[in-house]
Amino acid sequence: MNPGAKPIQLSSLHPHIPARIHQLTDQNPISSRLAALGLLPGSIVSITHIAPLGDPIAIQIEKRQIALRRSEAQLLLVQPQLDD
Amino acid sequence: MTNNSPIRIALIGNPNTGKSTLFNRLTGLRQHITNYPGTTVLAHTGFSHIEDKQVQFIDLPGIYSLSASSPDEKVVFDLLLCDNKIDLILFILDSTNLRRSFFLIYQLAEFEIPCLLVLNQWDQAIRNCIKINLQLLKSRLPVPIVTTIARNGIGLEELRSAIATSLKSPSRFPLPQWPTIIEECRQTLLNAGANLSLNLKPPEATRIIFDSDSIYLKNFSPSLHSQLSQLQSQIQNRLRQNGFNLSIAEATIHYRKIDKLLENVIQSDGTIARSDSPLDSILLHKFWGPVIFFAIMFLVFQSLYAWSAPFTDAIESLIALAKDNVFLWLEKFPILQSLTTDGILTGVGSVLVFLPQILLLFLFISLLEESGYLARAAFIMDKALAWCGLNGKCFVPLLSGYACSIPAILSTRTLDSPSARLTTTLLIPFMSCSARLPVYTLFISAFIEPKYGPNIAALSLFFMHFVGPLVAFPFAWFLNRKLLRTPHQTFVLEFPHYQLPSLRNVTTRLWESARDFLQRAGSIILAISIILWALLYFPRPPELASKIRSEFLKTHANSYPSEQIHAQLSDPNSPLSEKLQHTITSAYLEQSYLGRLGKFLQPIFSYAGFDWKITIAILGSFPAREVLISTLGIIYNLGGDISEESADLHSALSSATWPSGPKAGYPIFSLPTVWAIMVFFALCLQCGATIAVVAQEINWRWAIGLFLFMSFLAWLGATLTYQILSKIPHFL
Repeated sequence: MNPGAKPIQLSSLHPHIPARIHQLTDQNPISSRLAALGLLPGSIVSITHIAPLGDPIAIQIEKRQIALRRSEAQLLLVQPQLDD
Repeated sequence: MTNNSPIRIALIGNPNTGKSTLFNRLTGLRQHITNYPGTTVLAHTGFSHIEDKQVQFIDLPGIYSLSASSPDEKVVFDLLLCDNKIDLILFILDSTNLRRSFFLIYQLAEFEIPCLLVLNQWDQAIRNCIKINLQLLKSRLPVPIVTTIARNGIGLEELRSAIATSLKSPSRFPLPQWPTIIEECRQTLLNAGANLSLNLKPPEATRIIFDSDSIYLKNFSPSLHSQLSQLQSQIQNRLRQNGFNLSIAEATIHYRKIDKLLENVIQSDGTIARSDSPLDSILLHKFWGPVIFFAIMFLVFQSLYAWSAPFTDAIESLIALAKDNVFLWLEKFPILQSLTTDGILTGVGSVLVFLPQILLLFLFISLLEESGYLARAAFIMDKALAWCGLNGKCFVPLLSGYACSIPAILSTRTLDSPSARLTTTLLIPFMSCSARLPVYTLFISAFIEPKYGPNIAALSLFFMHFVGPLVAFPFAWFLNRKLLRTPHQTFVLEFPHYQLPSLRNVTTRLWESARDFLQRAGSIILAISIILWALLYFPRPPELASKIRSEFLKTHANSYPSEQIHAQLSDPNSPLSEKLQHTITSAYLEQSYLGRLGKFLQPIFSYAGFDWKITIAILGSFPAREVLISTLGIIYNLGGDISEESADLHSALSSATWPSGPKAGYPIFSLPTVWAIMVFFALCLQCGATIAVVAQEINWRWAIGLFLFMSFLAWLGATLTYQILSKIPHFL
């Protein structure tokens, strides 16, 4: 575990790397929709698939797969949980 | 609960929880689909009996949260807010994702409506090794809980008796305990509401606190709206100063409670291993994903285009048979004869003829949706459609539009974003449907192929299929991004588990779509067909026929001996008598109300190089564009029973010349005119059935607006085509 990793936007996370959600952009209605899905600080997510045209991306949260556009994934800041 | 009004039970839950499957199980085929007033959100209602009591079930749209800007959430919110409208809520939870399912329940608790929790997809939870301690969960909640597997009907009896018990002794979900500062803000809002003599309810107060762009505020008058927004920003500022991130505050509060509620209830293996299906690594593969997707789309398209043909042909021959019989029976009553054959039976035929394609398309779509593939297909196509305000799910309806607009528009019901549904419905008529094909074939084979050869002809036909989309997609972009400025809809799409489609759901879907089309659109299509028949039939002065007859005798007096003429005319099947009949039919068309309108409007169409004959033929094709061929046949004295490949029609069109004016002696069907006619057909909404279905799915305002807009666009496109091509010396 690497708790000190610098937060990056979920859209720039590498596929299949688990990451801990650090923060959601405030004052954006889309953030509250994502939060309603359980994408809250502390949850673990990872990118499982990228659409053939590069957008959207599919992420795994708990046991479910959710597709998001990159513009939405940018609202999430995550800390990659690199293997140690 | 009042005794005289029926008991109303609402089904609420996240998308993909099997909510609609459960609804089908509870109500069977006794369901009814309408739009919620003023929206394109579909309301499914159905009746059933619970212990001898009539109960109305309402299947509400699947939503994840109340805090959003989409009409789906507003429909749920508004329905629950009305007093005494709902007696019981069935919360449908996904057993494989209880944590998220509970979020919506916590949000809806403030409505204080009695409820019952249904843990559906219980088998999926077992399959995914999710162990749920049901006893513990039941002991922590004051509301009844039932587990079901709706697909197989397991747990349905228990559910029915639980509903009966809940109706007798209702229990409510516990109210949320807000942090002190939020509770204070809610009180401030409720008091302010009382001062404005507004009966503000607790759920409304909560939404005003947490949603910055709430559409619920738009329920109020403009003056109240501005006062409430002012209050809203004061409260939100206060909360921000106290360290709340308002985008996630509500979710954080609820999820903290949910985690406490579910503590030790869910015994998951605790791993965060990949949970995507092995199928996804092929179906979402960078290369194979699109290949499989286009193969499936080709199959769907091929089925609409080709497989439906034998069924459609069978319906058409049945109608033709009926027409022949009725024609003979009503020989003595010409008006009645024409009304029943050309008006009513043609109308009935043009309704029934759509059924095979509707059923095939809905069969494919429900198989794709039920199996879980449709969500993956939307994922693959999303980027290609996102730029103009659509999303990946719109691809299947748009592609189906190339076969026929009617099933395609009905299939937009699978789109969960109402703005995407509206835009897709408006775009579909621009896709080059199969009824445009005979028109293109006629003009390309009569005018382009003889001059440029088969390769250019094929290329022209191919090009004509892109004229509509070339105009329509920028129009969608303009509509969404500039005109309506629809807010960017979030594209949050959950991948459902792959599963075998349930036969029951597929058949229910087919039955519903066919019944709905026949009941609602069918009557309108029939009415349009009869009105157009009348416009083409009346007035019908009998003296016109005798006038034409005497003129006909005069012109043929020189070429035939008179007894031969009379002998031929007494036999209705002789060539001469057919020729006379065609001339009379043509004369009646010219003087009919529609013919007069054509001559009246001709100056407008002269900019596109059309003469009055083309103008009448085009106006006659407004109920259905393929009618153009037979109308041209009638106008050129060849009779209406003619195909686009007819050599007579080709030569009649190519030898037609302008009788007078500056272009006297030149052919009417010059290349610029031919291209102008084809562009006109590519862009025009000449299909009564499509107008009826757009009206059914959205409303009459949009349907008529779209019709006028496309008519103008078609005229503009034809005029530009003609004017530009006429300036190029090659085409003259």
